[in-house]
Amino acid sequence: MAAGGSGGGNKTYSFKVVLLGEGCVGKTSLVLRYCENKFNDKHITTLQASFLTKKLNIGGKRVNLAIWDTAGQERFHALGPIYYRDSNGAILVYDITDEDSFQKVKNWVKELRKMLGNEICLCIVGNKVDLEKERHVSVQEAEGYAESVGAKHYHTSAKLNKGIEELFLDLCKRMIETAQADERAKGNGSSQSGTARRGVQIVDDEPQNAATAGGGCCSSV
Amino acid sequence: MAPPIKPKKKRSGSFVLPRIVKTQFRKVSGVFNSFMTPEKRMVKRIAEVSQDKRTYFGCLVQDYISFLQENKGCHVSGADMLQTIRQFMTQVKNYLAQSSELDPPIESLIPEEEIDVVLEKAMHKCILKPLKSHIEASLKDFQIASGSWKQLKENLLLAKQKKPQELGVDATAPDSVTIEKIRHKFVTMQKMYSPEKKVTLFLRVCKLIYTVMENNSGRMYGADDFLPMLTYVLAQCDMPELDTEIEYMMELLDPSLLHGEGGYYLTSAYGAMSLIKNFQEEQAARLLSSETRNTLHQWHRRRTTNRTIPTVDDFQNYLRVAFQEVNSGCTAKTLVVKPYATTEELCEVCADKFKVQDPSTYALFLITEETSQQLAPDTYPQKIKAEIHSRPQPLPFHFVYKRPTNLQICIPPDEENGNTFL
Repeated sequence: MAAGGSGGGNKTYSFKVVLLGEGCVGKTSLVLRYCENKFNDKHITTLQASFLTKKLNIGGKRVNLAIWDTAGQERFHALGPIYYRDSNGAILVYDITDEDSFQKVKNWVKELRKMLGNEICLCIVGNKVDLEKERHVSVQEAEGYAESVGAKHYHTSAKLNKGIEELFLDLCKRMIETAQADERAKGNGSSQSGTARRGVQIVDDEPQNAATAGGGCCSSV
Repeated sequence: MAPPIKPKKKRSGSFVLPRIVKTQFRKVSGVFNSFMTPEKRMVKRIAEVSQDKRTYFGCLVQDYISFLQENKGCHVSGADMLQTIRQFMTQVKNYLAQSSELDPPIESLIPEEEIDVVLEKAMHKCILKPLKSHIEASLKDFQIASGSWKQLKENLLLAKQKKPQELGVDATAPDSVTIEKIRHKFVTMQKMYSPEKKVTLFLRVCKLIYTVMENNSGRMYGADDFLPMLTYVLAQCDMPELDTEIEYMMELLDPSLLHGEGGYYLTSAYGAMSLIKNFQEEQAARLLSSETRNTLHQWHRRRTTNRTIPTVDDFQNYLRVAFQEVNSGCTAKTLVVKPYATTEELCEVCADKFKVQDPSTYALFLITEETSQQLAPDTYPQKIKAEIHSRPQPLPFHFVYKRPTNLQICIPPDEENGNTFL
């Protein structure tokens, strides 16, 4: 089993990340930017942005990310649980020029904490910082709120490709930490079953997995 | 436990089966056995052993199959049945991976990292294939008994009559020829017993939907656009049997695949189906939403007739209204709004102040942390504000001038919250 503390050089972490936020806050652009429009050709539905995967190498640890987009319109709100169940991380996106969308993020945080507890790593993301002049959600308020609910806050611009790489890199590091803590808590012997239940699978690495994310992702932890 | 008996090269399995529907390929496959890929040979071998009751594995499988077929009442629901079958398949896989009953041993033909995939395929063949018709019939029985079949059929009929826009679709929808093509794919999908093969076909349908959307716009779509479109397509296909198909795939698919692409699109299909199943309720909720607007209306009329004059503090002539545009976010302005100015009048002011091109597509919303409520034209924003202020613990609230989502009346996040506000 992948021993969390021993570096786990030849193991791969598989994480599921769910993307939540009101319609039109830029969820899709954000994730498209991150995946650099490069899609996994193994997938039948390539070239689309609802489901994306990305492979990273963080400090020698391989990570397979599966990013699940959700429909942000109110009428689909009730479907949230079927998408976020078994997620290791959630990215909650709002538009800094739209206070409404920030309220929506708060609703999601409440729901996620209630349903999934502290197991899930939360990122609150203020998107569209290129429209700083029209900001309607204050930085202080947003960051203060994030801290109060145990989430990290990020500022991004999908348009200018700002802050996105950092957001995902940071989230991955946190998910690895959570998975490692989980493994340690359960003991090496039972780690696989323990983590599998929570949705983390540690699988044997494929030799051709070497393809990694660009630049920032390879920096050491 | 029976000692692993080395099975003879039996053909009996193949002799019994041709009487059932068999493809030509299957008939000649025995002849070309030696030309098969190691994977196919192994799957075939496992399927043969699974029918040999002299082996422990064969007993396990055959007894389970007969047990399921003879004890219809042993499961409380379709999901319960599918989950126990899934569990059984996983257990049998574990047994096979460790047992010495297979000859040749699986390791001798299949590289270690592929063993699980091969075993999974073999399980589909020796467990799901013989059980397919039983599973389908049971799932349908459960559906009919619970009344959900009838409800689904009715709702599908309703949903089918809706225009794409009414279901929240904002991209070009597939035409009737494409819908027919999709239906055809679904019919093919239904004939398969392997959940993985079904999923592969289902993903082709998704791809086809994306292609239509993309061809007409050139852009890429996320879930905001795809989910409404999938709902529309499923409604147009009008195939109530897809509900159990989706359940079959979701519950029987190798759990390790549920985090992947197949799992994602199955989840979306499940979501789309639930929306359709609850279509009437959703419409009822919309109706309820307009009823609550009426209540609000009446409440204000009552207030007006009683001439209860709110205190000056609660009743300043100023009102801050946020303007929300789809592409450029929010701007807010503080406007002079007289106590008896109606929402309709305020909307006219907003249209002017925010320089809106097509005022008829905008409306005024009252948004609190929990609710989002479109205000009826004849309500009084200042009075609503006063009413909220006069509560023991006023919640933060905002008046927002924006386009209604989906150009429909906005539904509160849930009925209870929606109602408590009023």
